[in-house]
Amino acid sequence: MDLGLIIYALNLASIYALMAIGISILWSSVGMINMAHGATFATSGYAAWFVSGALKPAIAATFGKTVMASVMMASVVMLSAVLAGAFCGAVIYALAFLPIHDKPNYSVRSLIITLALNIGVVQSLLWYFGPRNRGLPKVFGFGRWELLDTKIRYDQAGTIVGASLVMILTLAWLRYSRRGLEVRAMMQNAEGAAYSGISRQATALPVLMLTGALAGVAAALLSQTIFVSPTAGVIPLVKGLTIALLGGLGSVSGAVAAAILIGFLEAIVGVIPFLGQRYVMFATFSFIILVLIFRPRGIGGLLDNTRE
Amino acid sequence: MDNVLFGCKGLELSFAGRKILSGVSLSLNSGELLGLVGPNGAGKTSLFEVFCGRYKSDCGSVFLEGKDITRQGFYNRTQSGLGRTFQSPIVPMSLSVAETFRATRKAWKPYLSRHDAEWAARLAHLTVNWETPAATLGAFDRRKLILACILMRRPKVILMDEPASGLINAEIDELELIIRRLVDEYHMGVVLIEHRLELLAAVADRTVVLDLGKVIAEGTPEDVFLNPRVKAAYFENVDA
Amino acid sequence: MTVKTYYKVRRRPWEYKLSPDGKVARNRLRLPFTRRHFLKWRDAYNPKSLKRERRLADKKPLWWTIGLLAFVVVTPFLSNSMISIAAIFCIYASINLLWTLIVGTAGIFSLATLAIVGVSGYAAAASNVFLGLPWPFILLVGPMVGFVAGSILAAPSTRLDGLYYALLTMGVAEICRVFVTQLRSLTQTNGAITQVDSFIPEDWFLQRPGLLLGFAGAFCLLLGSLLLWRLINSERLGLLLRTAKTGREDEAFAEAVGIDFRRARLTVFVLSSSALGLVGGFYAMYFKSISPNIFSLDQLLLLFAMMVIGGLGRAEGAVVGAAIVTLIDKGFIEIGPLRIILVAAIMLVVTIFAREGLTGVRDQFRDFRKRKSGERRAQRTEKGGEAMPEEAVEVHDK
Repeated sequence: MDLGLIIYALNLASIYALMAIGISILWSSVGMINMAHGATFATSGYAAWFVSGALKPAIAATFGKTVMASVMMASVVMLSAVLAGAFCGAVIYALAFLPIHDKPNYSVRSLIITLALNIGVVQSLLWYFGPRNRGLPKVFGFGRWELLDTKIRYDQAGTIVGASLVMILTLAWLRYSRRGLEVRAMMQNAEGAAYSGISRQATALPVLMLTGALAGVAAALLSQTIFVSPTAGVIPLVKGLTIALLGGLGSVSGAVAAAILIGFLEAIVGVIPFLGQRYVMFATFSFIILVLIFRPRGIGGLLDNTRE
Repeated sequence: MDNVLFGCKGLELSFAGRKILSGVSLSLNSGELLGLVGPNGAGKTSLFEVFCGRYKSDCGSVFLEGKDITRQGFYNRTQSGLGRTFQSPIVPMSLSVAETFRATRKAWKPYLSRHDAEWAARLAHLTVNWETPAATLGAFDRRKLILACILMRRPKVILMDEPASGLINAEIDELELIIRRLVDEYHMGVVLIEHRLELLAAVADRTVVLDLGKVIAEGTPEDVFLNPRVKAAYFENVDA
Repeated sequence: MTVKTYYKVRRRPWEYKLSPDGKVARNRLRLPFTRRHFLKWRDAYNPKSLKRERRLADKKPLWWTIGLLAFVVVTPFLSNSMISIAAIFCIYASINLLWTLIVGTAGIFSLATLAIVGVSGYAAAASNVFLGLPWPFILLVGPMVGFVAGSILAAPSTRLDGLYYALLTMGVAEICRVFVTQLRSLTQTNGAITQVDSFIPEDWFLQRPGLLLGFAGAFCLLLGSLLLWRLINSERLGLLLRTAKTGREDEAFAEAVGIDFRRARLTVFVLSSSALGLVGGFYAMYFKSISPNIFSLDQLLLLFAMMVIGGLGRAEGAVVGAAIVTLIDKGFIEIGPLRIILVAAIMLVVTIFAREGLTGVRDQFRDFRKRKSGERRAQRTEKGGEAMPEEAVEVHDK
């Protein structure tokens, strides 16, 4: 296997992991399967495109064609995507969590509401912006490095590094901050957490905003490779969901492991001559079915077992 | 040992390396009430789960009327005459008492008639209105309901997991009456898990003490409770 | 002396009651060869008037009959496009009913419903187009393939938890879609099988008589699904499954009394899969073609929206939801993507406010009213609602 393939696989894996971790954390702490993650993804992409388009003349006027201008541009793209993602998280909180979190059938109803949100938002984007693809300004610039005879594009490297950084930050936040402690308590035992005075309502908002922001980062990063479009969120949503499930819902390490596995699988299937890109989904799902037949609770279940 | 109704030989069970049961052998005759006691975590409930097939034992065998039933599932064992009640008083949450009885009657062929259900309800002293939702029953009525459902098929052996927990004394007396009647009049074998020794002393024919997955004493309740090993297991710091 | 105000205690929903002659022996119609009655009449003496009163304990069969009769009487007088919408509604409603059987009654979260419909539709269509079987055999091949597909899919369902099984079935649907689109022999038509022979004669297709015939067939399909629903849910299988419905404890109880609920679940799954196979065959015949579109996620989501809007796990929910969504989706084609947004908005609003979809609104409102009247009653009592239960007996206007 050559290095280019590994880089490509890691690139896919890092995007998937960002989506899957968001879904996984949300499920285990708030008890909600967030089907609106794809909508968050698409909305953040559009927000980044819109804001960067609006601020382009201003940045060009202030900084000219310096390095500073591209740095500013990059930070504008990332920041707007993250903010839009967090905003979407807050909207999901207001619609799918607050009104029904203490009502019967909460988990099914929140799934349905987020699903409806997803369909509605994607169709609205399609209706308003049209199906045309939009390119985002390049955060990491054009160009490539030569390393061991293989070319690594800046955006690929940037995506891998950026995603890993964001994930580490998130995990560190979960590990070391007080809020993070509350979230982890809810992940382990929601009822016990409630008994020891952790408010579900107060904790759910930051978790939803955080996972939304993760989707925003994923959108900004993936849009370096492909374009922004209304339906761009569907594939990351499906992949994120499958990977979160494959990793064992609620297990962050399992989700990362599953993301890497699936990333490599897709990269490899993509280059095998007689299979090709068309069979990527086919191979992924066959793999998932195989795993589920042997490990009914996903890979996270495996990790749990070995720990015991 | 030739009229042994139900028993097990050399049962071993471990979870993730921790031994829960190690080499447990028991036997039960028909018309006998066997008390099973032991401190917390002795493996009593796990033993029941192995008996009824919800846990798979690592080795050893369970037999009923001379037949090896180790490989059968829970409902299969129920169908061959092994009843089991649970520590928590569980009932179907969305059915009424009558519907619960109907479902039980039609669980497998031959289907029973309503008279069997009435007979079982009387035997279990269940006197509630049959139209009440099962979920609204109190703890004792719930226990009676599951007992009646099991009795309907006239099982040979009943495993009862702490039937007296959460009951007041008058209710415990009634329960004692029901159980003794099953044993004495219908010659069923009953295995009873109970924490409180004085209750067992009043009702059990024979007592087995379990500690850390091993049988440490067996005999009449009075003999067993005077056994020094039992004292050591139960009242850890009595002699110290 | 103060004037006492009397309040009504617990308003009961008003009911129409017959007053039969108490001297005449009752003669109730029974379903042939069974002991079942057609309607659930209940007689009782009114303790106040001492008159015999007869009421209908379960009015649903009546509503079903009225609704279906009205539907079948009105539809032939509608426009051509409305007739085809009605037929499509019937097909979707029957798929929904069968799906509800799988999800609600059997409690297996399968997303492969449309995959089963698609696979058996494809197999049936292929048997007709490529093997030359005449069209009545489509109605045989469909259920057979559905039975096989259902049996294969049912196997892992006892091992996997809900969400994981949903993921697995979603994967199966995707694999089916890719497989069909990659088939060599179908590449000219983008994976679709066309020119399927049908019970609608060739020269009637898309003409008024053909549409009416298609509608009649679809309506029979809907009736068949309703019958299957009824047979499973109100007979032994449904009772056994309801015993083991909510959670682990119920399952433990069911096993303790000797109910093999896993087998019952698989039976229901396989039964409704076979019926879904029949729907698949009918689908291929009705449209005279079948395309990979049937495996797509969008189609599945549309069906899911129907179930959710109507109310998950209820027969009337599946049918009402199908009616609403089909009408919006097929009836307002001119407003484009807005109709999907409309469906999503309805779904959102219904789910936020209604516990169990539109058909559960009535029960929910009654619960709400009961709770509120209870609260008001508590406030009226002398201590402002703080009476202990034993005191409450003495409060005269409870």
